[in-house]
Amino acid sequence: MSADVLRAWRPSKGEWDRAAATHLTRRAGFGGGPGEAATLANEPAHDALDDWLSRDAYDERVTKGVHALLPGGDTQRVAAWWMSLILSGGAPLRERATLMWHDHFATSDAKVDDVRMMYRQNELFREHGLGDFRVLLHSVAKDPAMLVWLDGGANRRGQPNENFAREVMELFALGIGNYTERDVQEAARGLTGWGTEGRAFRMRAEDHDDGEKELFGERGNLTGDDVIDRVLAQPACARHVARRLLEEFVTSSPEPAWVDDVARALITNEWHIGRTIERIVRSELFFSPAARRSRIAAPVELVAMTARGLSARIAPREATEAAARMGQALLRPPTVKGWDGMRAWINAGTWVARHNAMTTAAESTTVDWGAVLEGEDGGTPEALAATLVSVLVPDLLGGTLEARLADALRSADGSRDARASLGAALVLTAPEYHVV
Amino acid sequence: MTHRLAPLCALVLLPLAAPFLIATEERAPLDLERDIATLLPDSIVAYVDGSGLSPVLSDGLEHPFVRNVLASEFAQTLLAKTTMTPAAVLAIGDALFGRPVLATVGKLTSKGIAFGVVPRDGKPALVLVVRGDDAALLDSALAAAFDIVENKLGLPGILDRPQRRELGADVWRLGEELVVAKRDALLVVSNDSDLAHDTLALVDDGERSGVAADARFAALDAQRTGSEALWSWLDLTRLKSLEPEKYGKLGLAANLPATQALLGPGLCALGSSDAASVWLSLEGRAAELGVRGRDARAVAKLAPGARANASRDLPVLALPDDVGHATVYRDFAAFVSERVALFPPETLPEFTKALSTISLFFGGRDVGEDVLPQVSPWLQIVSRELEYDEGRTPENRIPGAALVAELAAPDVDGPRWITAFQTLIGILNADAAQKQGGMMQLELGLEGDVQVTSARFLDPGPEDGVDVSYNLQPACAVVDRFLVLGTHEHVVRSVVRQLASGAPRDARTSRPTEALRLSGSRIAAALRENLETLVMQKVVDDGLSYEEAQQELGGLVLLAASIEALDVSVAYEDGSVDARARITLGGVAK
Repeated sequence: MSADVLRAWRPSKGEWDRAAATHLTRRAGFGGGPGEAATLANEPAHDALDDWLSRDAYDERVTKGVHALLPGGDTQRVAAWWMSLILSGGAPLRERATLMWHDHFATSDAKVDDVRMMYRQNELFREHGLGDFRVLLHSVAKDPAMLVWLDGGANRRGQPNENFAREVMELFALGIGNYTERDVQEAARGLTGWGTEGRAFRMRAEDHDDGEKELFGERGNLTGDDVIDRVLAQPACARHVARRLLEEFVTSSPEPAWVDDVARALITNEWHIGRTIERIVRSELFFSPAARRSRIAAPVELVAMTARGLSARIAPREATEAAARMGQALLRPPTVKGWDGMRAWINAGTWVARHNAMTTAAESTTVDWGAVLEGEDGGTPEALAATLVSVLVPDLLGGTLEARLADALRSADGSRDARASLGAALVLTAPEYHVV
Repeated sequence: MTHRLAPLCALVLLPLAAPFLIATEERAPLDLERDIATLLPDSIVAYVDGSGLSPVLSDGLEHPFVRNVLASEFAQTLLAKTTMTPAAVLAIGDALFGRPVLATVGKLTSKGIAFGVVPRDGKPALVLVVRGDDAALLDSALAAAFDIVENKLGLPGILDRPQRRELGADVWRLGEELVVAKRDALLVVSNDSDLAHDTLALVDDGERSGVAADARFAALDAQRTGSEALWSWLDLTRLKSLEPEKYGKLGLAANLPATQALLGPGLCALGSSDAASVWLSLEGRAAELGVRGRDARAVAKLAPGARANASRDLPVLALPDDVGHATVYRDFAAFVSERVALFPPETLPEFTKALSTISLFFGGRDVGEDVLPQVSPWLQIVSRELEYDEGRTPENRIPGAALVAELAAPDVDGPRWITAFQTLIGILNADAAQKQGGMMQLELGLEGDVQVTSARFLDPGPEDGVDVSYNLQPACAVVDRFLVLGTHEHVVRSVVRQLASGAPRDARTSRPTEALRLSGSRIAAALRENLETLVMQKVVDDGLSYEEAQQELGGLVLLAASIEALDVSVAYEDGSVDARARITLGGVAK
């Protein structure tokens, strides 16, 4: 099994279809625009995967333009700027990875309270999020927002603050059970002196504990960088990262053997996250029933895939606020553990918020229904229901959702666009749509 | 399809019968010099007189104001994006209409054009009265217009003859609502047959005066200068009683403290007027929009003239390069003394709490009793571009502003204000320290012989960037009798220099007038300075594409750059409010 889990997917005839293409765009990105899944499904699977995974382009005016927003100090504007990159769909996998690392190395502006630091961290995830994990971890350890968030500045010789050292081991790189309390204390000593000056990283030599430490059973006069290197050298580290990648791209409960295989792939790829993700995305596992429709869409991905799928013109700030009402405020994760996700996304309050946001999107006057319905006229309730289901939840074509929708559309009147809007609202607010 | 057929049937059937019903009758010729307001019924609540537009229409593109608008950078940029010049557009209109449109309209309205509105349940009734001195021209213009309608309906000749005569006028009814009546060189158009009839009755009876007989109308009408292109009158009393939900609380809302602080006592009093006139004048490079309110009741204690020691001996501080300057009347002492009348009851505890906090800054003195009454309510505000110290130039530069107020007892109150300023900075620093935010450092300096107290954030680190907050470097000083408070030390020092060198006094008229002047070119410069930020804000806040945002804001910058100055003045005296906004074209962006 272990040798096969990342075996490249060679779909037999009919397997590479609109549903598979939709799965690709939603799991390895934030969904496609109208007709995009159909276009991809018409290409050979290999070409379509190449096409999707190679998308890595931004509107430079917008990426550079963020610097004009920073002096104003409004973090929510920068969160909205990030949402604009997500909504644009220019670099779907990179933005997906950026969001994954934001959740993984969860840092909140609620404490950092500095837009420039939060932006710099966001850029760090964008720059290194598909690169070498070792570089990413070292960079995060010296990231000013992280240092403020986990009290790096208070970690001084003789008065170690263990916050960052503990989270590096527990949450960021190893996982519980793979370190001892002594390791945390000794790692914290090694990290003493790392802090900020203004908004920049600063090593304060006078605050560094340069005594001998013992970490993971080995002794030495460890610096902060040595501590990170030792953490990376632990076998548990690659597995921890592999589990995170599988949770994001395959399923929330990956098999241990899958984790081992992906960890091996990560090491083989010299810790290159992007190449490892590509192997996952091109694998049988990625398109297997275990991966398909196995996650509850996180608010950001729900808002983005809906706006993109309907080509609805939703202002990034509005999209960011809608996601926040559903429980995912960008740049403000609730704790250092990030968002709990999955079932925790749904409660009475957030479901109402999801319902409202989906209804608003379906009723948006900016939706190009001609494009969404891919030229289908939706003349009969059955035809319209089939088209909407095939576009919005293609895995469920021919199922009960389609039958329910056709039934509801029988009493609808008005223009095609009005009926399509009503039908789309019914699909988007159905629980089935929220599982991706 | 059925919607279109109903009026068509009416159009088809009525003319068949109508010519047989028409009886000619002898009527006295119309008095073309009669005040056009006398032709509109006194049931109207809104009246617009466009008689002054006639010269603009006659001159067309050659009218001086129109010429200046078209020559502006804004118009030129817009025109560069279109394929047709305004002259070409007019030529097409002329060809379609078969005669020069603007000149014809000018002649048709040479003896006045007026418009009235009568509130009705559901939909207001509207009437337009157009009067020229050439009945034949009106005949042919009307025939040309009817031809267009007939061609559109595919029913040629259907409107060749009127459907009836009424009070000496030929009357056509178009569809279910529109009534068109012509008598000599006078045309009446209305969407209400009763209103059309009332209007024709006034036209027919030279002894009646219509809305002009209303004393409130007459009073405001008498104040016209004759230069107005458009002049209108609003019966606010009736509007409020007819639509209490919409207009009933106009006066009350204007008395809210925030509105008072923002708009001032004069503009706030407008809402309580029993009637108002609004006019537009166009001359040369300037367009002026004016509003005059009659029987306007300002909150007594807040109104100019209510304070005994309200000195108006103001220094002239405006400089040619200013972004703007204003002279306003805000009696904050009266805000405190009248708080029970002004503030909603639920906000009074918070207000009182704020007062007691502020009193701490003044060594425990009562702000309402001891501090604010010593400050003249006539205030000057100047806004200027700033200069920054090296390494402290914000990435978004915003013009600074300083407020100048006269103190009744500068020797006593001056030091108190400076101490209050210092205490305020101290308290803000304590708050910032709690939140681990940026603190400010107090500094004392001299501008000539005058001490300037200022506060500045610590210099940003080399990698920190310079935030918008660095536009704030608050400062205060007392020069002679004047207290100067500013958002930035630079602007305070520049005002101190002006005051210390004996700025000339304001030789204003006896009317208590609030005034504001904004420089279009300076505002355009400030917008340009921050264009990238504004574009990005539009992108993320409004969901515009980068190009759309750039285009929208580029238009705004050009518009501002095309305006030399915006002048606003508000005078309130003896229950009369006179507010004017004047735009002078011709600014060039720097």
